[in-house]
Amino acid sequence: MKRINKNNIEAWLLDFSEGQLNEEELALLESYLAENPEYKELLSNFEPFYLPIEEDIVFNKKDALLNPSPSGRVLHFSFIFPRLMAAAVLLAAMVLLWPLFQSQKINPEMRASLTSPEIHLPDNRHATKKQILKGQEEKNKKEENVLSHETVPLANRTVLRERKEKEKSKEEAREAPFRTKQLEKERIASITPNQVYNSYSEIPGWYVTKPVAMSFTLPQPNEERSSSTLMQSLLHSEVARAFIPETLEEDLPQAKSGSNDAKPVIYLQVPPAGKKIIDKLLNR
Amino acid sequence: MTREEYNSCVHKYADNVYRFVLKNIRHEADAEDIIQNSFEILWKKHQEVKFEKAKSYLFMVARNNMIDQIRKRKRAGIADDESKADRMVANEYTGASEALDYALRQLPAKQREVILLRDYEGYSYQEIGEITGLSESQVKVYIFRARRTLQTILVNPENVL
Repeated sequence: MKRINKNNIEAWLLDFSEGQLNEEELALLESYLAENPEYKELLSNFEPFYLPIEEDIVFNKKDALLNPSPSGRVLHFSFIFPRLMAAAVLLAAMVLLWPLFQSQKINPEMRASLTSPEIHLPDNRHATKKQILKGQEEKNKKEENVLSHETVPLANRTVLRERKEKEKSKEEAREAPFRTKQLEKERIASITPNQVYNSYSEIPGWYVTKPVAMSFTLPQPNEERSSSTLMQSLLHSEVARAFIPETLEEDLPQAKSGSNDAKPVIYLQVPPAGKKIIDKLLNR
Repeated sequence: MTREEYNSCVHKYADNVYRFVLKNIRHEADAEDIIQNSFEILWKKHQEVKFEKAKSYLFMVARNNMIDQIRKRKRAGIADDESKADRMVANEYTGASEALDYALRQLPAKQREVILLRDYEGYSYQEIGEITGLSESQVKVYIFRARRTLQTILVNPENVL
């Protein structure tokens, strides 16, 4: 049994007004009120007022609370509405800004280069060198025009330049072996007898042949080449080096002329391993 | 609690919780948001909350949401406007329902909460204590005081007029 005090007297009075006290508790309350008459006033005019249930107050959006989505989120209009609004605003912004994007005119050439991942080169397998060079020039010119086009946005021009540089470096890498070979060919073709003479340097241990006639036939049947071609081949292959000793210069005036018709007698210098081959060649 | 039981809770208790919240905060849109939020929380916790305890849980969650909402409104300075509106309503009301609303608004928040739970929902004092975090004795004290205040306002018309 709880004791009555000033903190819970109102709870006791409530129980009393609702008829919840048993005889023992009633006696306890009467005793307390006799000792504390000021609390009797609380009961004197007390007529408990009970709130009537207002059935007309109902929640009309129950359906929105039902059947939660599988993700566990209960969808409600007040939650969906802001998202719908945000999507609508985004869509409206896109529609409004679209003409602005459209106003930045991009010519068809640039559009093609932007949309295609690679700039396709023409099929030049059967083209002559002149045709290829001409085609390349035209292509470069076109790209320059695209890059310098005023209506092309700066960012797009940068993209195009980067793409062009990348393509150029790829092309260079692809052509590098052929280019090296071509350069070597050009170098050999440009060698004249005089240059052969001037480029002489003695290599220790190498075998110097007897004077070589400038015209002879290669081992391959039915194939004849000029001596200069043979010499160039030999020089290129590093099998032998040709030189004209200075002591023979006077005897070989045509060697210094540098003319195409010159057929100087020369010496060949070959490594030890090449001696037999050269001898065999020269003796034929 | 299963999905079916949850849906059953919506049908059984949505009106009760809404009434309780609306009577306390007197703002329909806010009350609807609180109900929505309360049921959303109930569903999130549906595996932990037993169906038998769902009603009490709902009222407890709604009450906490309501208190947060009241604090927000106070911080936003809306409370003063409401008081003015209350005074205006008090001078203008004519019907019993308005008189009851006015009388309820005169009660301190805790007294209003406990008497609404008791009279509208028929909760026992112990259950009200669980929902509000008060002891049973405190609940009784608040209800006694609330009934006396309501009696003073509603039984004696001169206090209203």
